[in-house]
Amino acid sequence: MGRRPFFVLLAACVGAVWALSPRHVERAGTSSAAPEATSTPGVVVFDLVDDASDAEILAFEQRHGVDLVYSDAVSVDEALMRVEVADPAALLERTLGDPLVEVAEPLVTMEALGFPNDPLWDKQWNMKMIGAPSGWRVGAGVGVQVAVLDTGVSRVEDLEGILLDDGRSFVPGVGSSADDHGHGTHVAGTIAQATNNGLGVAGVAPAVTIVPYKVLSARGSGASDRIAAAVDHAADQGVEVINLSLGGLHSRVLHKAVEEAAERGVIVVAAAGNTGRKGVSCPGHAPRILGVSAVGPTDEKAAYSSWGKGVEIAGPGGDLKVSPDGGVIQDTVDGKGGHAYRAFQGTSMATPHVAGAAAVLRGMGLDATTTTDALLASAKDLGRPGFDETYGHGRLDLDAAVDRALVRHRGVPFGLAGVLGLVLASFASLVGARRRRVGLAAAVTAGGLFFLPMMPLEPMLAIDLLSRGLLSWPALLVGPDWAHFPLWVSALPAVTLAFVFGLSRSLGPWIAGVCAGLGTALLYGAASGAIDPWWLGLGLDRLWLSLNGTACIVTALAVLGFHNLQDGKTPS
Amino acid sequence: MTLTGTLRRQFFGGEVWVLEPDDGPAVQLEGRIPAGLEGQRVKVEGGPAADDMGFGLMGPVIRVRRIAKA
Repeated sequence: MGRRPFFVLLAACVGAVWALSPRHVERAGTSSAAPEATSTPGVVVFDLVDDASDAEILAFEQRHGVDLVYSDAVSVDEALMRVEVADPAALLERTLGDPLVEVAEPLVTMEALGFPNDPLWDKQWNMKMIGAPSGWRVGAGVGVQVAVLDTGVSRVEDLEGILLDDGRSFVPGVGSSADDHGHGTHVAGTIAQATNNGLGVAGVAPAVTIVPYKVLSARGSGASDRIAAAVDHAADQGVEVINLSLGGLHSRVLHKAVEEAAERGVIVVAAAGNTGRKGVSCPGHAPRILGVSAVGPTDEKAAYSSWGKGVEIAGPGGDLKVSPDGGVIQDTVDGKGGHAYRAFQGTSMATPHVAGAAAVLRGMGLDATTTTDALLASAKDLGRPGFDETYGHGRLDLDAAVDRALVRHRGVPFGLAGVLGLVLASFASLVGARRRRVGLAAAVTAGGLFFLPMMPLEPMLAIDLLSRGLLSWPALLVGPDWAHFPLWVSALPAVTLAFVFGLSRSLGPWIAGVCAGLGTALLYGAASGAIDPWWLGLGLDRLWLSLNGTACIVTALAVLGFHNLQDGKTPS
Repeated sequence: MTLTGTLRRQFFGGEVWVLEPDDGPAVQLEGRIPAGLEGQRVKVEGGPAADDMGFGLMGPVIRVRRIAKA
């Protein structure tokens, strides 16, 4: 192999490493981009090397005459620290090149960037508490269906543009799933209120599809057997998440319905209750579902929140006794034909935060079990250390959950880059003069344009698609599970592309690269278990991926060989 | 069933009437409740509601047949 092909291969491998690296999630106050954004004078943020010891940090402080503090409790592991100084520019210059510093920059706040631009965002302590912006930067639950079983959902002003299914009514004598009370629309707003639209408030996962089931009457009550029927129906329809901001005394029928839905891979989230005493309502107490207790704006259990066996996680439910601004504000119907931004409190309000967070993770391509594990493992531990019956595993922290979901893929880039390098090296001599096009197409197909999420762009589907590998596109466009559809994770797309476009002299090299990229991703999926094709088990899934990955690469070779023959060249 | 206790009005995303009995846990009340009885000791006659679930989440739901000052 000559030097130039070697460098092309090297570049392709490096590209693949970057392309599949965990995507950067901007945290409030630590934007790495937007140099034109407004800086807050006096505060410098340092991202130190992750394994920095206390002694090293102390030495750093002494070297530069600063007293660093952690940006927040969850930034300890990442050594994310800040300091207020008289001359930030001078400090940045002094610390330039310090081996302990990975990144240093002036503090830039999300608010300064004007994102989100929902006018009541400042009052949404609850969204800030859970780190909702991190969810918006990883797709905001795109492609995920969330069933809201409640008093119905009406398309109020701040639900304009949100995907809202027709749903279904399970209340006798009521034909539509419209909200004739206000509770259900408020709950749906917490999950998916239109965000960054210049109106009202934000929601946790505004890209989801809300599927409303009217199971509670205008009085706010409903029968357990009809609610159970709605749970069954929602599971049959293939929703990924069910929100139950309701409850009552134990109902065997409803208990069975939610357990069966959970067994089928639906994440069921239910309110713990508002009695303020020990004892979780049905169905929140069912073992396989997520019972949610409520905290107020001070991150302490709200006095009204029930607790006990069945509480798995806590969410911000508001506490109007602690503060007049301590409620959860969402847009809802006002009972007079209009709408209003109302501050409610209750475990009903805590629950949809968890449902929205689950939708965000499902939208990232995580399955139900991994999503639940990530939510519980990343929850902020409150109260007695470890699990307890007041906060469960802790208070929902979507920011940390997203990080956890991304870190889960940390090993992917190196493995995939290695496979891609081997693939390209195996037919380097065939690539010839087309190396740039083949290498670029292969790397981008395998992992996407890695740098897009780091740019100061507003979250949108196109960016999310382009920043991912081609194989994961169906997860965003159709639904999380469709990235594992057997005919998609096969040689069919590559072979089809090769037959339709591969013979074109101009497109051929690009198509060969795409085929090589798809083959690489399938082979890596077989080795890592990251792809789990439907219907196939007992090792057949890995065999399927291996055979089809190899077929993709043979297809790439065939396309290149065809063009080399056309050129009158022969492989060396 | 007849219960005696203090009538409270709570708000959890909607109005919820609750009876705090002299002994035992609170129950939710469903039906026509005169607002003037809020905070009063009342005697309630009723039975378990057919619509046994709701967003109030404050205990078993009792359908009120009659309510009066105790």
